[in-house]
Amino acid sequence: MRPLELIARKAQSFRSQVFVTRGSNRVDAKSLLHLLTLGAEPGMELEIDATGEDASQAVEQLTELIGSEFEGFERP
Amino acid sequence: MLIKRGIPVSPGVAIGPAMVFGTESFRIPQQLISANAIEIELARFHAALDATCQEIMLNEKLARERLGDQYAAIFSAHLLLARDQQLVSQIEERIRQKNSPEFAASQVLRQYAKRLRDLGGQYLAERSIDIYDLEKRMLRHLLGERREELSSLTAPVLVLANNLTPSETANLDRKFVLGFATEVGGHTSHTAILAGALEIPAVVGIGSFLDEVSGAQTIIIDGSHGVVIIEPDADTLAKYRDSEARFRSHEKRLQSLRTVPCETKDGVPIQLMGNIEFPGEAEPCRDKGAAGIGLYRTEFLYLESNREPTEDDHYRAYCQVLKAFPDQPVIIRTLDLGSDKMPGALRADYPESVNPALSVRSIRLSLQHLQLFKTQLRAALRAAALGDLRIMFPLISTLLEFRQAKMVLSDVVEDLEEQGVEFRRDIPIGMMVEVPAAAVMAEEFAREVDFFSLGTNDLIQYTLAVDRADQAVAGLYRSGDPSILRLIRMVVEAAQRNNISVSVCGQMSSDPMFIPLLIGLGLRQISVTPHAIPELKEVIRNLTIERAVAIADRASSLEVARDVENYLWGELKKLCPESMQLD
Repeated sequence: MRPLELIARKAQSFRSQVFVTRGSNRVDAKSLLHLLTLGAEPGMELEIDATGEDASQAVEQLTELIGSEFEGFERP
Repeated sequence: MLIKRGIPVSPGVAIGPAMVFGTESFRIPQQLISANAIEIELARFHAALDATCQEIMLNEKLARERLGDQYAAIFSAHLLLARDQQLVSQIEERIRQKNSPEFAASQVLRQYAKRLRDLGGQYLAERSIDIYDLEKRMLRHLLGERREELSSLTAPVLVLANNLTPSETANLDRKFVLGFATEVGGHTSHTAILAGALEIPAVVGIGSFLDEVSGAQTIIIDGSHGVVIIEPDADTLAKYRDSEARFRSHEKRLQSLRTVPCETKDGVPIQLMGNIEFPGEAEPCRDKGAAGIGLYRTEFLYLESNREPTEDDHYRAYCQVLKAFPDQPVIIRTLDLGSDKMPGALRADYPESVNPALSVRSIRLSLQHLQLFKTQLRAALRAAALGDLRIMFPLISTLLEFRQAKMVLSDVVEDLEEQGVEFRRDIPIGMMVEVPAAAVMAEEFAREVDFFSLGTNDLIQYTLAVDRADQAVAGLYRSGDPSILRLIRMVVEAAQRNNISVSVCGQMSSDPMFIPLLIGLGLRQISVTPHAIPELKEVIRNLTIERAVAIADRASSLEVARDVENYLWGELKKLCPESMQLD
C-alpha cells in the first residue's frame, strides 16, 4: 500500500481538494480507498489537479512525490 | 434481486435475514433505524469508529515494539483506511437514510472490498482482505456486548459461508438457523449429510458470492432446487412464502406419522431404523420416529483430524448416540475406510492402489492394524454398558475373516476384564453382507454370526462390477437387477433358517419403490437415511404382507433390471397415489 499511502498522506497535508486521475477515473487523493480503486500500477500515467488556497503547492509537491518514484520517502 | 445457483442438499425453503459467516461472523441485528434515532446512531457510529482507530493504533504500537517498523506499517495503513473521509461520509450518508450503522458500515466496506477484488491482481485482493478485517473490527465495536456469534444467536438468521465444517454444522442452533448456503461443498460432503439430518434447508457449491451480500439483507434459500436469492423482489418473496408454507404442511403431515406404529396394513411390525454418521444426527433421527440406529458409520472419527482417534473420542461419540436411543438397538459398524480414503494417521503406509475397491479396506484394514481396531472395540464394549449397542464388521468375505475379527474382540474383552473396566460382553456381533462371496455362503455364516445387515451399495457394486461414482458406467448400476434380488433372497432365507435377524441398509432401502419388494422378500428390519423415515412409513402402512409377497414374487420372475424397476415403480404409484403427486 505504501506509494498510495504516501500520496494520501501528502494530499491530506493540504487544505485544498486534491484529485488524481487515471483515464476517465478521477478520485479524491486524500482517500486511500479511492486511490486503490484506480488500480494504478508502476509505469502508469496519472494526472493531478487541485482546487483551493494551496492548490498549486499541492499539485507541485504531489507531482514531485510521484515523479521521484517515492525515493527517499520510504521509511526504513 | 440477485439469484445464485448451487447444489440442493437439504430440501425446504427458508426466508430471513442473512448472517455472513467467516468474514463477519456475527449477526447484524437490524437493517433499518427510525428517523428520530438518526443522530443517536450517528454518534454511536463515531464512537465505534474512534474505538476502532484506538485499537488499530494500539496494534501498531505493539507491532512496532515486538516485530519492527515494517509490521507496524501494515497497521498505519489500516488506520488510514479507517479514517478515510470518503468512507466515513458514505457511511454517515447511509445512516441519514435510516440504515443502521452496522448495516451501513458493512455494506459500504463490502462494496469497496468487492470493487478491489474485481479489479484483479494479488495486491488488490489482499487489500480487499484488509477491508474485510476493518469491517469485522468496526462491527465488533458497534455491536459491543450485543454481539452474537453463531453459537449464541437470539434471533433467526440464514447463515451464508464459504464453508462450514461438520462440527460447525452440527452445532448450528436449529431454533435460529433457518437455512444455510455455502460457496464450496458437494452432495456427499459431510456438511450436506448433516444439513439433511438436521432438516435445515441448504444449498452448497454456489461458488464465490459472499462479497455480493451483506448481513441483515433478506435472503431466500430454496434447498429443494438449489437456489439462493439475495434481496428478492415482492413477487418472488410472495411466491416463496407460499411454497414455504406448503412445504411445512407436507412436513407436518409426515411428522404426524411419527407416533403411529410402523406396521403393515395387516399389523405386521416393521422396524424402520436410521443410518447415521455423526453423533449429532442421532437426536433428529429419533425425532423422525426411528426404531434405533441400523447403521452407525464411524468413519468421521478417523477423517476429521490427522491424528488417530483416541478410545475416549470413540467412547464419547458412541455415548452421545446411545443417549438418544437408550433402549433401542444402535448398530455400530467398525471402521470402513479403504485405500482411496485412508485415515490420516495411516495415509503414508499405503501407496495409491490401482483398484481401491478390491484392495485394503474396511475389515481388512482393521485386521492389519490391530491397535487401531482394538481401540475402537474397547470403546464400543465400554459404551455398550449404557444401552443396546451391537457391533458389526464390514466387508466380510470369508468365514476365516469373521473368525479373526471375533478373536480380536475376545482379546479386547479379556483385556477389559483384567483391567476391571466397566463394559458389557454379551452384545450381538454381526456382519455386513456386501461381498457376493458372503451372500453365497450366507448359510454357513448364519451359523456363526448374531445378525446380518445387507449392505446393498457394495453388494451391487461387486455383483455387477460397477463403480457408480464412475460416470462412464454409472448407468449399469441397477438396484433392481435380478441377480441382486436373488442374492437378497438367499441371505434372508439363510437368516430365517438359522433364526438370526437380518436387516438391510444402503441407498436401495431408502427408495420407497423398493420397500414392498424388500418386505416381500422377508425383511422386517430396514435401515434408511433418517429423513426418508416418514415417507417410507407411509408406504409400509399402505401395504399388506400378502401384497408385498406377491410383488416380490412377480419382481423376481422378471429377467432384466429395467422391467423390475418399472414394475416396482408402478406398484408404488398404486400403493400411495397421494404421495406421488407431491413430486
